[in-house]
This record gives sequence, structure tokens and C-alpha cells, in this order.
Amino acid sequence: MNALRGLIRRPGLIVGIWLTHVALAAGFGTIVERSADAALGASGTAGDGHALYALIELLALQPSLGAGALGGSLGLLLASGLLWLVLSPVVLASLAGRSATESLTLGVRALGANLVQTGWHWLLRAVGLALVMFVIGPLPGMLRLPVVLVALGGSAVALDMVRTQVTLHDASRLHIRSAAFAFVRTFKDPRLLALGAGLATLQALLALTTIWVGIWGIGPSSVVWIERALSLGMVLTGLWRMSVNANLGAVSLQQLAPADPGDGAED
Amino acid sequence: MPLVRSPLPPSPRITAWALACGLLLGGGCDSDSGKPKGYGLELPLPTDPLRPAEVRGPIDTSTKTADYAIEATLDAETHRVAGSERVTWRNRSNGPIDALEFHLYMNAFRAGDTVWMAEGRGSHRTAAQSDEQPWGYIDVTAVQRVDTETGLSFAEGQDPSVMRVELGRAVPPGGVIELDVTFETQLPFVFARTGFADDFHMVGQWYPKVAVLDEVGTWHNHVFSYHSEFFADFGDYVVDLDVPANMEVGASGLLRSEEITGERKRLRYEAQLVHDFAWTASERFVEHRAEIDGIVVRQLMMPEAFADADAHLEAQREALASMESRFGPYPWSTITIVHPPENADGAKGMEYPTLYTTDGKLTLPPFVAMLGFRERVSGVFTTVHEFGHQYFQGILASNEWEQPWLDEGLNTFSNSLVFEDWHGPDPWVVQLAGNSLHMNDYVRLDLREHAGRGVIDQTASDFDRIEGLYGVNTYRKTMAVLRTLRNLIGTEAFDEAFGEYTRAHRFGHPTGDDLERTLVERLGRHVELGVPDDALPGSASVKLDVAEFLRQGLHTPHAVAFGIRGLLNQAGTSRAGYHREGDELVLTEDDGDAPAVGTLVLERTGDFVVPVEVEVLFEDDETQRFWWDAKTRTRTVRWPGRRIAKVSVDPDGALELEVQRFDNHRWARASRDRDVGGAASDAAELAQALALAVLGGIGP
Repeated sequence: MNALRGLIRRPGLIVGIWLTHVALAAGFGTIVERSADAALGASGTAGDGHALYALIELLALQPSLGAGALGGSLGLLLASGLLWLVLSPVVLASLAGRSATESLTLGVRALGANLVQTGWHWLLRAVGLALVMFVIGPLPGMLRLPVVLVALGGSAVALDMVRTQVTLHDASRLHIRSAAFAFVRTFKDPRLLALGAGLATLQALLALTTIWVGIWGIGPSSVVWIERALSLGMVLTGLWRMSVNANLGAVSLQQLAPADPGDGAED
Repeated sequence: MPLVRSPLPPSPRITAWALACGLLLGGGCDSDSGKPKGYGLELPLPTDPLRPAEVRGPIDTSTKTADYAIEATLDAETHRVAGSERVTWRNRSNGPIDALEFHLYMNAFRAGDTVWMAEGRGSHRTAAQSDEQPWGYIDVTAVQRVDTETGLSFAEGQDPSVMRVELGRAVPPGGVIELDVTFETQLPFVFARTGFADDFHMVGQWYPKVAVLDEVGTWHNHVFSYHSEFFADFGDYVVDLDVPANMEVGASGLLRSEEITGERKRLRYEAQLVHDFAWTASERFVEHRAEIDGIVVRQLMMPEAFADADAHLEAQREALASMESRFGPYPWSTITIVHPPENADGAKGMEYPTLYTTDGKLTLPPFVAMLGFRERVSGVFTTVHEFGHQYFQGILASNEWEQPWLDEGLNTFSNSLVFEDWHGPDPWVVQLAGNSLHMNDYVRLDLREHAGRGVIDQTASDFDRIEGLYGVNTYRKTMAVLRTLRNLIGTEAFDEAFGEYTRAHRFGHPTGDDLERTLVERLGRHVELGVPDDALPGSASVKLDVAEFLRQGLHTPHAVAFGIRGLLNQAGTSRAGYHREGDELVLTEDDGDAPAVGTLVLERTGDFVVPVEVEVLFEDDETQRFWWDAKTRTRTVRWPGRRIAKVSVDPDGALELEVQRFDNHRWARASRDRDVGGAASDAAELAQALALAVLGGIGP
């Protein structure tokens, strides 16, 4: 349980990230609300159970509102990806038990290596996923789904691993073999793969549930705090998955054999 | 009972058959073909094409005008039908007739320059005529008068979809003539209702059919154009079909006999009091047979679609129950539901007497289902709609070319009533995470694009294909006109009047005038709706002019649109200031008690003049409802001493013709914080959910 303990010891990190998400989302929501208010003027809604039609009518009256919301979401997606590219090494160091100053120093020092290794990782992930899709293509949808989930979840773990190894340990900072090794290591270790893929899948499910709750909440009652609670769940799940790698220690090619119970994979 | 069943995933034919055999049917498979045997086949077929007299009610058989005895042989390789028919025709006009006019509908597909093909550019809905497939045609080779045994001269019209036969000697009023006609029909690849796809054959509009002659001796023999459908007289049919023995066959009417000789089989079908005859044949059909109130329902399905059978049967059952209770008994003893294969989209969703084609249910990806998406229209709505045509065209045989809204529009309206009878008032059609899109929402969304454009009551040929107004006006706007009228005057009164129209014109050719006249007669020219805003004891109530409503709804493009131009709680008139008292000016202090005046300015922004109900919510939470006749463009209403919180125009959504609803509701400035859960806050919460999902899902 090293990973979970490592995470629990960092409540400030959890709350800080969560509040940042909440603040960004609230800001985004406020912009959308103001725009919708401006579009509607003084008009209200019927309150007759046809809220979905009212929303569609609003978007039909002001298509720019829908385009803006979609564009904003995509912007957030991009911003989030870039932000975590920078933040990941710092967060990983912190989850590994390093002090705030040390984490920051390590993060800054490993920024270049992280950029390069993230690039290699995405290249390998794209090729790997294409291969997986090619192989499982003929299978029925319900059989393809778990394979894709494991592939995506395992990839997320592999990305955490290569970032951890170049930030905290002495993995090659620029060579593609570091990213490749992380993939091999992850997919060779069933327990690491199962835990990582499970957490990644849970994170994705929480994201889908958040959208579902958002649609479900259309109408008189507010569901924003349910959405925020789910957001906290996503932050916790994501950080737990990162903590697994942060507490794994240095891994090497010799460890391709089944994982040693003492290496942290028992999480 | 749940509507959505899990259909089989797309799979090779043999796999599907095996699954159908093993998992679905439980009845085993044919040992030779491996094809499932079907379900309910032990159910006996009726003995009469019509239901018993005590069930179907009295039928005026004097409407029978054209009887057909047809012999047809299908060459399944060339998709060609060799046929001959004996037509027995009665002259029901007031004058002698020296020529008969025929429809040769199949000739619409004979060349690229027929009226139909030129208008449609060879495509229909999502399917199109292919260069690699044969042209469809019907070639009449001989016409002979039976009584004189003489050959008659005949000629196609300017468009080959019509033909005229000179009789030599006139048929007097009330007289009968028999003709023998020989023909050959080449089926096209099915892209517009009729034709073939592999071994599937949907044989509709395939024989020479006498046009309708009205009482004054005018032929209604319209050229088959892109938007037009069909029009014919009632009669009895006896049809002998010769098809390959391994084909399953479905047809209008009742199977009377079946005789297998070697690799061919000969089937005799009889249909009574119908105005058309269609049939279908395929090696792959699997039959699902059931019985509803003594009517045998045959579903002819591709094995891979067999899992949908119960859902379609339930839709059929609900449609029958609803329509019989409203429009009178279904008179025939059989219903055949054809499920065309995937590569025959062009055949889907088409009606013929006692037989119709339907569409498959939507298969949702698991991801979409996980997001809470549910729907109850795919496939089953087509079943309800096409069955509805058994009434609105099958029994009430309007001229589909002259007034297409009488069958499509009235039928779509009746379909909405079926859904209400089935699922309750204001039924939803699509749900997304518990939020519903209702049937009238769906229609409003469709009408939005075209509000104020196009007239309902026009011929099929008057609709321009590029303009795209045929479907929305003929189907959905007609439905919205009738539903709006029904909502305004009350469901009971309207249903009684509309039911009277359907009962009075059974087995006739009713027109739009018949419908309008019946509704006005039964409802009264003016229907009281409620009190106006300035109602005093004994003052007149607001009335709806039914005839004027129908005139605007059916014969003008006018759109229904209302708004709230102004809403203000004006400060009361203050007494503060100087007032003359004798020779002196006396200063009055402001006591602050001047009562406010709630002021509302209503506006009719559309050209359609129709009374509308208004609901006013005052700040003390009292509400008041009144009617505005909307004969003027605006109306100002004041409530001295009262402050308005909110105003809703048409609060119950009775005006289903009105597509823009946002400007129907307004909060006073001081009460806006009471607008909880408005569209703006909904949009904001949805945006927040999206943002949190993106940040949390992609983030750590």
C-alpha cells in the first residue's frame, strides 16, 4: 500500500489540484452562463419538463454559444495536457516522498527529458494501439472493449513510469528505449497492469459519469456539487495511479521477470 | 414490457441463422437450408379475407369499382414478372365512358427522362438507381374486350406511367366492362419502394391499374411524379402467383391455396375491398406468426432481424388497439409485416393494403447506452406509421397525388395518438441521461427550419424537391395543425368530430373539404375557449373560429408565433408635489404608498391569427389565466396595484405549431432570481460538467 500511503500523505496536493479544476470549471461555466443570459435577454423557461428542448432551442438560437462551449472544452483539454506535461515530474517527485523544494528542483531539471520521453511515448502508444485495433478488429464490440481499456490503461501507466524513471532515477533521458522499456515493463507485470489499468478505467468512467450527471441535471435542481465530488474522485484516482509508479523505485531490464512483491507493485 | 430488445450483432448470414435457430426460435431449423423454421406457424390462417361481420361492422360494397383476377409468374433470375389480368370495371359516373385510363406506375423507372426519374434524378430517400441494374418497366402487350373478344387499341400517355385504352363501344352509366390485359413487368433494383435486391422481391405497383373516374366523368389519372403516391378504386382481387418453390411469399389479402410442382409453387391469394395488391418473395424470409383479436399477423423477416419481432408485434398491437377505438374496426383478417433486408433500404417503410414494410430497430453502441441514451421510435414508429396507412389510405382512400396530406398528415397525427394511448400523455421519444425529448419537441425541431414556408394543401407535384418542404408540411405540419386544434378545443370534442370523419368516409375517397366540413359541422363554427383579460360578468368569451383556423393552417404558410414585448411593474402615480386648493398651491409630501401597476404587452409576431392563453404569476404567488384573441398585433394589459413576477404565453404548450418558445416566458426584472434551472444555468452546469470531466479525465 506504499502508493496509497504516499498519496494520503499529500492532502495539500490533492486539494490543490482539485480546487484548481473546480475553479477552472466554474470560470468556464460562468462564461457560458453569461453568454446564454445575454442571448436570452429577459426570457425564461417554461418549467414544463421540456428542458432538453429549451436547451436545444437555445443552441439553435445562438449556435455560437455551442461552438464556444465546445471550443472552450477543447481548449481546456489542450491546456490540461500541456499543464500536466510540466506538472507531472513535480507531482511524481512529491508522491515519492520528496520535499516540496526538492520536487520542484527535480521537476525543473527533468522538464526537457519529460518532454522528449512524452513525445516518444505517444509515438509508441499510437503504433501500439493501431496494432491492437488491427488484431482485435474482427472481434465483436463487447470483446474489443476490455482489450482497448487494458491497452489504454496500461499506456497511462507506462507514461507515468517513463516520467518517473527520468525524473527520479537514472533512465536514459533522451533515448526512445526508456519509453519502450516502460511499455514492456508495464505489460509484462500483470499486477501493475491490472492496478494501473483498473485505476485508469475508473478515472475514465468517473469522467463519463460526470458528463452523464451534467446532462441528467438539466432542469430545476442543481447538480454542480455532485459533479465536483466526482471531480475529486478523478483527481484521487489519477494521483493514485501516478503514486504507484512514484513508489515503484528504479526499474531495470533485469526486472522484466514477474514483479518482486517488495517493489511496490502490491498496490 | 420493454421495447428495446437486443438485436443480433451484424454477422454473416449463416452465423445469424444458426443463432436464430439455437437461441431465438427454439423451434429448430429446416434441415435442407439450415434456415430457421419460424415461430407460431401452427396458428391457422383465417378462412375469409374480411373479419366476421359482427366485428368489422357493416360495409357498403357499392363502392367496389374495379375487380382484378391476375395471374403472375416470377422469374427470380431476371426479376421479371409475366402477367395477365382480367379487369372488371363499373362505370359509376353519370355519363357514358368510351375509354379507360390506366396507371402503369412501374414505367416511372423505365428511363432517365420519365417525369419521376427526372424529378428525382434517379434516387429516392437514401437509395438510387444503379447503372449496373436493370431499368424497371411494365410492357402492356395486349388488351382485349371480353364481351366482344376484340383487341383494343391502347397507348401510353406523354409520360409512360399512364395509358389510355379505347373501348370501341362506350360503357353506359352503371354499366360493367371486362378487359383482358397481358403484360410483362421488369422489376428494378429496389431503390424506390418496389423492386428486388438479391433474392428479395418487393413487388408493388406492378400491374396495369385502372385510374379513378369521378362522378362527373373526370379521370384522376395523374402522372407518377417524385412526391406522388397512389390512388385507385376499391375492388376484389384474386391473384395466382407462380414462384420458385423455395421462396417464402407474403401478399395482400389471404392465402387460399398453395400447390408445389417440382421447383415451382403456385399460390392463390384473395383480397376484398382493397384498392391495390402487392406481394413479396424471398428465399431468406423467416415467418413470425401471431394473432391479435382474431387478425393473423405474419411478420416476414430476415433471420438476423428476428430478435426485433416482439417489439414490432407490440407496436402493431398498440397501433391496432388505438386506431380501432378511435377510427373504427380494422376490416380485414390479415396483416403482413415485411422486414426488407439491409441492402433493400428503398423498400422500407411502405404501405399496401393489409401488407406493409417496416424498418429495423436501432442498435446502440454500448458507449452511447452507457450515457443514458434511450429511444423508442426506431423501427417501431415505422410499424405504427405504416399500419396507420391501413386507415388513412387503405380505408379512407384519398387521392395521394392531389392531397397527399390527407393520408400522410392525418396518419402521422393518428400515430401521435397511438403513442399517447400507448405511453401516456406527452410521451417521450428520446431520453438522454433521464432528460426527455418529447414527441411534440421532436416535431417542433423539425418545423423550426421551415416555419412560415410552404402550404400543406397542395398537390404532390407542386412540392419542389430541392426546396424540401414536402415531408415537413405533408407529415409534421399537418400533424401539428390538428394537434393544436385538438389541444385548443379539447380532446374529447375533437376526437369525436375526427372520428365522425373516419366513420363517414370508410371505403370512400374523402377530400380535404370533407374533413374541414365535418370538423366545422361537428365542432361548430365558433368554439368558446375562455375569458379575456378584461372579463366582466356577462362579457363575451374568446372564441376560436374553427373554419378560419383550418384555412390558415392548411391553405396558408402562416406561422404561429407569440412573444412578450414588454413587462414592467411601473411605479404608481405619486401625489407628491403642488396641487391647487382654491387660490393656493399646496405641497403634498410623498407618502410612498403609490401602488405599482403591473403592465404587460403581448405581441403576435406570426401571421397566423389564433387565440392564445396567457398565465400571469404575481409577486404574491397568485396566478391568473386569460385568453387573448390575438386579432391585433399587440395587446397591453395593466393590473393597477399588482406587481407581476412572471408571464407565460401559451403556458401549457397547446400551440404545437409554435416552434419558438423562448420568447413566450418572461420574468419581471425584480423576480429574475426566481428563475431557477433556466436554460442559461442548465448550459452553465453542463459546461462545468464537461470541463471537470476533461480536466479530471485527462489531468493526473
